Amino acid sequence: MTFLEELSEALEAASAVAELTRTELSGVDAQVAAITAAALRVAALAARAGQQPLDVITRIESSIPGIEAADHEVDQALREKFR
Amino acid sequence: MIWIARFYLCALIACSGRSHIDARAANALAVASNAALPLVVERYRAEQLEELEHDAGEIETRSRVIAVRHQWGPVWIAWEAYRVAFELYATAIDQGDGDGAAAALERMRLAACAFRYALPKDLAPKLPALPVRCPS
Repeated sequence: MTFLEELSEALEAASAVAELTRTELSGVDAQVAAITAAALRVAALAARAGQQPLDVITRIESSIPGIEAADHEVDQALREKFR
Repeated sequence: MIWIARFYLCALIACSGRSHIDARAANALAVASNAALPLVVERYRAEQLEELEHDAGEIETRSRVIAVRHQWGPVWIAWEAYRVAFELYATAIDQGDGDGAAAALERMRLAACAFRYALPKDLAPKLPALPVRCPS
């Protein structure tokens, strides 16, 4: 298990504990526990995101095949017209 | 507790966030560009075929077609320059070279804008919008 995977699991566990704690508290303490739980869940998601491979970047296509096809068609039409 | 969570959150985003954002933005630009290319080629083809509609002899018609091809030369050169600049940018992102990507980004952006400005004026608004900011 990588460091980030361990961290992700620890953060999720801490988030679950904070959420459980929140239900036992009231007022400001409950709000602090709720915010902590949310922050820990986001951190866990970020840790998992760090494990994802980088997105594959599409490359820009060359214009040459399209230009050649267009020119070929026009040349063919010229030959047909002036046969 | 909160400051501990904030610390981990900031550290993790700093480690993993930027390259994903760059890759996704670059990908969106390439997808939009590749969607625009067939429309530009179609316009090039149509303008040439239009010259065959005139009631003119062979030599004059061929001259008109060649003139269209010359007019479009700068558009295709601009496109290929943009394609090369984008390749450098995307390769830098793929390699995790943040400095290289930052340097390539501005060149790529200017090349994209040069292509846009080379197009016939009435064509650019009809194409998929390229997510780059160009000087107006």
